[in-house]
Amino acid sequence: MSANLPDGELLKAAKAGESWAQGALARRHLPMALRVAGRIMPASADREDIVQDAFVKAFSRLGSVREGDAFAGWLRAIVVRTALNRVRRRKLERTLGLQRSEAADLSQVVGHEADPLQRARLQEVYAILERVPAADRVAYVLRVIEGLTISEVAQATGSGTSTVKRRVRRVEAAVSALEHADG
Amino acid sequence: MAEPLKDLQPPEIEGALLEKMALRIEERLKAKARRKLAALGLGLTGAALAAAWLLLPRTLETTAQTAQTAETADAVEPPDVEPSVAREGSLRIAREGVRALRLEGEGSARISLDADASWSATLEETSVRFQRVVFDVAANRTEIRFELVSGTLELTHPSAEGAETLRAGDVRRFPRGDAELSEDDSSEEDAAERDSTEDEGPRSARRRARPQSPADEPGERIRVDAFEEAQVARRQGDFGRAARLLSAFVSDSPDDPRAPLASLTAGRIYMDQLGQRAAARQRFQWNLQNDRSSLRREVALARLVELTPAPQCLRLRERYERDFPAGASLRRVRAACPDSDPP
Repeated sequence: MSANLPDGELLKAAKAGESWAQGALARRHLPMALRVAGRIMPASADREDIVQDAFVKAFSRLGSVREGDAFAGWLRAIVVRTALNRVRRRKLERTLGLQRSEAADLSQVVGHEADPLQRARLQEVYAILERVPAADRVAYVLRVIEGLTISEVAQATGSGTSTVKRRVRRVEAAVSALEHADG
Repeated sequence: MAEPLKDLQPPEIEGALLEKMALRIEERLKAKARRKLAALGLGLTGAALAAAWLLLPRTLETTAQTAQTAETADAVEPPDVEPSVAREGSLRIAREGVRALRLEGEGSARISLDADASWSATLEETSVRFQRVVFDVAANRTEIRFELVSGTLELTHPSAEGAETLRAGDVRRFPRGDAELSEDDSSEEDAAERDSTEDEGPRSARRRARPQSPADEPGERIRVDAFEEAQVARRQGDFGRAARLLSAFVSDSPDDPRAPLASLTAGRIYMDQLGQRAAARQRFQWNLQNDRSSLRREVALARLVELTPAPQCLRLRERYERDFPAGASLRRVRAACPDSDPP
């Protein structure tokens, strides 16, 4: 029954402390959360931790969502910020020599049926993303791989649209430079 | 501009993984709720213990005072806080119950409590009770409560100018280190106590020797007291004075742990109440440069964005977005300094 209820109704019930409503919201939005977290951090097993942390944060602050329809965007912003913090931490750990770089696990980014050429290109892109600032990486992934609009990326990252554009452009320049070098 | 990759298939996510994740989230939420309940329980227990600690001495005291007669004034139960007494003349000192002291006879005495040696009481033909020592945890100050039984009592304190004269029947609380409590600062308990005292007999003279404002005096005390003085001025709606005192406090005591809060508060007053943007900007910049609290730096930076006209504000806004991507003032900052680029 809860599967048919819109987010707004589930949100009302969840705010009232109904655990079934929380469960229904979690099941409905888990695929999106796992996909976004996996695309931002495909090289590690952090995806599940990020998503769990994000949902726990979200359900602890349900009072701050005003409209039920906005739940998905609001949750995505929490997932993105949690992932961003995790990316920064991983970078710091690598700088300190506490972590090693890993190749991207593309099964968390695209389906198994994806075009091999596309997979190869993604592998290169993720190698570049390892070297760019965390915020640039997140903006690029959300825009180019997740396919969000600039304003959606701005909302999810809590940045201005011009900032998002600048960040995406910076990564794009690095990717183009690699392509030219290969060419 | 980068476009999304076309025909990018979403990754497969197994149903079992979704179920496992949903269960884990549920478990973590339950665990969090349990921890919250446990913390609440601890808090309530703590509050109950604190209440018991505060009420117990008074109860004992009341019981002791009710039971005692003039003959039992020599009760031997020692006070918890032993006062040191220097006396002259034929004064007789007797302990009365818990934390109570009676002086009888003729002469004068100087009394100080170990808990707060800076306080002293000069007595002449007076009987005084040291009713109890109250620890005011919220303000981190010790207060001593006196109850005057008969005669006239003159109290002096190093940080108060002049002296306080109490008459029989008066009950007062005096904060340590502060010149005076404003009416707003007295507790409801005190108000009730004063009312009950007034009901018992003719109204006693309740003159309070008003101390000079600490901010009007030079020296160490200005720096120590200006912060408190500013809070009083602010509560009284004297925002200009409050802001000046806070700014002076920051200039005089930049290393004081209260200086960052003083600077931020002054900035807010200049901005919100006085409309003095330049002065407000100066205060917030001080916080950005000197404040170690990221929370206060965030507020200061957000306020600076609001105070700076476009397009100069964009640089500050970008700094805010970079340093505080999940900042509480993000919407305000964006509204105050919107993008100049076309979408």
